[in-house]
Amino acid sequence: MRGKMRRVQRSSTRAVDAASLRCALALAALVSCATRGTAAQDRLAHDAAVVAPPAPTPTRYVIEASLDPTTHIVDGTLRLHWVNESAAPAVDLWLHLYLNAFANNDTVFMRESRGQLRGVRNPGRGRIEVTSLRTEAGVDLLPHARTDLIRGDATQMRVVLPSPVATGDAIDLRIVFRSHLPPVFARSGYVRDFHMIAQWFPKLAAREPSGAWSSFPYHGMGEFYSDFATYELALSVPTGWIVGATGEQTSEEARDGRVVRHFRADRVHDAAWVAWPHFRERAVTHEGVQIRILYPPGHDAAVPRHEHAVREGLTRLGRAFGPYPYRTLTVVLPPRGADGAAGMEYPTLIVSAGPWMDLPGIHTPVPEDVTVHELAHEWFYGLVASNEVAWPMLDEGLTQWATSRVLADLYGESRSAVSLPGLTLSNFELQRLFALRGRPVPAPGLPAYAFDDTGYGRSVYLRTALVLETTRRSYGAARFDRALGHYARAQRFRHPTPDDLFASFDGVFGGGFSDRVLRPALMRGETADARLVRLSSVRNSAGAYLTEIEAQREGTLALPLWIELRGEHGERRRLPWAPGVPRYRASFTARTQFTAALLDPDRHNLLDANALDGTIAHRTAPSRAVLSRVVALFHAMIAAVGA
Amino acid sequence: MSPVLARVRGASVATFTVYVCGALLALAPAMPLASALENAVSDHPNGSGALYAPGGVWLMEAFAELGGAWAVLANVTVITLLLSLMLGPLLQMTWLAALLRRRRLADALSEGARRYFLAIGVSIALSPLLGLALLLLVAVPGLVGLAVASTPSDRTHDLALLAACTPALAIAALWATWHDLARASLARGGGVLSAVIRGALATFQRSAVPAYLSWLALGALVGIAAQILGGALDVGGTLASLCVLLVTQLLALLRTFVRARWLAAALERVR
Repeated sequence: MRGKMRRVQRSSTRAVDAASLRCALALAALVSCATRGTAAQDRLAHDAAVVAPPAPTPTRYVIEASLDPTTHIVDGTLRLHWVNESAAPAVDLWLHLYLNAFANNDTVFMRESRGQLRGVRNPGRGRIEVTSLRTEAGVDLLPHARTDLIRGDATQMRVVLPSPVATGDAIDLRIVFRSHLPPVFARSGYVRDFHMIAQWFPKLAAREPSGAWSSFPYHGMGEFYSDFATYELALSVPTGWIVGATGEQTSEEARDGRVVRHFRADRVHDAAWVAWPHFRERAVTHEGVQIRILYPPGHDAAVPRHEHAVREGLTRLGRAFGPYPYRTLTVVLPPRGADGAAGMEYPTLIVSAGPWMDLPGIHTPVPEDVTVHELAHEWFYGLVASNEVAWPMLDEGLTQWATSRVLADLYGESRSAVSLPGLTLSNFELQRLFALRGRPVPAPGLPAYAFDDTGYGRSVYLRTALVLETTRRSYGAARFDRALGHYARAQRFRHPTPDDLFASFDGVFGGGFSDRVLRPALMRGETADARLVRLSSVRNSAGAYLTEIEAQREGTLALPLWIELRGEHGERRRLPWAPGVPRYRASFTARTQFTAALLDPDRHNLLDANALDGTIAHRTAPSRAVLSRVVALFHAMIAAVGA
Repeated sequence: MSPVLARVRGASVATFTVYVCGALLALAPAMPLASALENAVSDHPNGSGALYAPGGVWLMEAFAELGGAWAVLANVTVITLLLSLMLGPLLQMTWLAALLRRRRLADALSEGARRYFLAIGVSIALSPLLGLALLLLVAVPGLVGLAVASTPSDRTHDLALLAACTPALAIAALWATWHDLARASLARGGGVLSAVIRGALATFQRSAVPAYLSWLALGALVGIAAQILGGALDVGGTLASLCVLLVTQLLALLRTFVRARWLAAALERVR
């Protein structure tokens, strides 16, 4: 291969790689065996396998990087050992140069996002320069590299290889790069002397088993996608600076008046780091995971809430989707002004958010919501590494559901969004109103670039979560948990597609389940609107009451529903409404006169935009003093401005 | 009985009238809102009790159902507040007249109407002070924010900003107290507007601002108590609803009397 590429030799490197491959194969075999066993055996076998730290991968990124905090520039050298594990020879390499998204106003990111992310506007520029790209033998590949693949956008680099890398072969590259961090507004960047260094190095696109590169520009919506690899980082910062990074810190050395910290992570698909001299630190261990919370001064009162959320999250998410396999987890609370960095996930490192104060009596779980959400991403993104641009619902949607479920289990369903004296709001019900009321949005199963900012949140996050929770409530929590747990375990360290998710559900619920429920709801955006049409209950000549009830499905999604009839003396009777019946009619004779009806009394169906049309009452319960209380409120307001 | 309490007692009818006016004005935006919320859940078996269900399912549905009614409701609220602002000087001068001379309501009203525009003049004359408070509310936190921009502690930064609001809040309290005292002086027939305002300013030596703030704090506490007690008593049924109505309105009346006590004290101060 003309000295530029070489077959994997019988060297120490190869021995490590072969061992890694064997471990991976053993793991895959265990997964495969587990899928054939019972659900309990499945979970236990797999969980036992993943308790051990993940094995190294054949592909390896070794990065030496140095941060200049005054210019906000990271100078780095990447030594990349890439093994072609696909079925086809590689004639080129595709690298993501994500920081170039901030290079000008014509990039795909800036055009699609209109220069903002989650309401934070772009205040400046950032970019990455690849100054050298050579093989280990010293052959210069830069002349064969192109970044002008899309007009105005240089977030991808295609490097044509002089000769193909065959299946099982490897190539070693040495890439020198310089990352100019932008002022932080979209995940990566700096504010004052705080640096969130993410998407900062040339990173290979994911290569599918078929041999196709899954490369894409940095989109306004949607996130990232890469293959699993071993990362070794040597991060140089000024002495006294605190660094948090993907992986475990293995050593630390002083060099030229600076400090170099070494981190290593096996079987992750990205590496990010954070550097700030003012971080406070809290270190605890939970279920064998060393949790490191890095937070700004003054946040001491809020840190226990984040810690509690992380501990509960690790336990509950681990139980549901298989244990968290890494030995470390770093939780970063960014300082004021770094909102653009907040609410983001990286392998073994999450960036949360929340106020510094903890007001007594206010139990609204806002900081917990962000922390649990980012932690849940360690499964749906980190371990189950789906393509975040092609199918964002597989990471954001599943994560949103998992977060809401954990919060509901932790704090109670009714107070999982807001918990104030005199007012509680349910997380799922709040999501239902945001997702289903208002203008229609595309189905959650579409690619990220099919959405605008609002539609992305309402559909990908919220509607997916509602579909999953509705499925869980309608078809049984135990079976649902088994199906999703199977998906998370079977797809660990893989790149699943929606079909893999549906296969796991079909495996538990029976063939065709996904075609009936999940595909229509997720891939076509169908809803399950239904309403009550009529209720009558009249006395007949025999002294009994003939009760007739009618209901109509407005949505096309067929769910099993219940109708509850209520008698005037508190009697209740429930009638099942089968999924395949669009218009429901029932009549029966009973001693009771039924004067009210409620569709879906247990609130299983969260895919009904309007729950109010599922109520009929000819006689209601005694009314409350709504007017008196509203008058009291306005009276106080008027007294403040009047006499 | 202290002279202040004697004044409050003597002006009970006027105080009650102020309370009734407030309640009637409050009804304007409250009725359509309460009615819309109740209508939204009128078909629910639990009736308006559904609005109080844990998790807020039906409360959120009812608010979502308001739709275009939000705009109407916002307009009604703004109009009501503007009306309150316009009626405010008349009611306050009538109230002060009644508190001052224990006159019949009709006479007090006539005196209040006579001084209506002078009362507005007091507000206009003192408005620069309110403007200054607003300016300080924007400028001082802005400057302090720049000064503490580099502090790494969010807590220090936020507390510094909060502290930076203090001058503006102090001036706002000064303005509100001065405003009431000036109108009290006007009710006493304090001559030309400038003399009224100067006279009111002189009363600051007698710790007027703390007295003003104490009525404000007491009034706020009574208002909060009305909401908490109202919520606790609102268990459904005619009797409970009646109890809620009585308790919330009695507490609103009490709040009005607390303000009457402060206005009577203001009249004593500008003697």
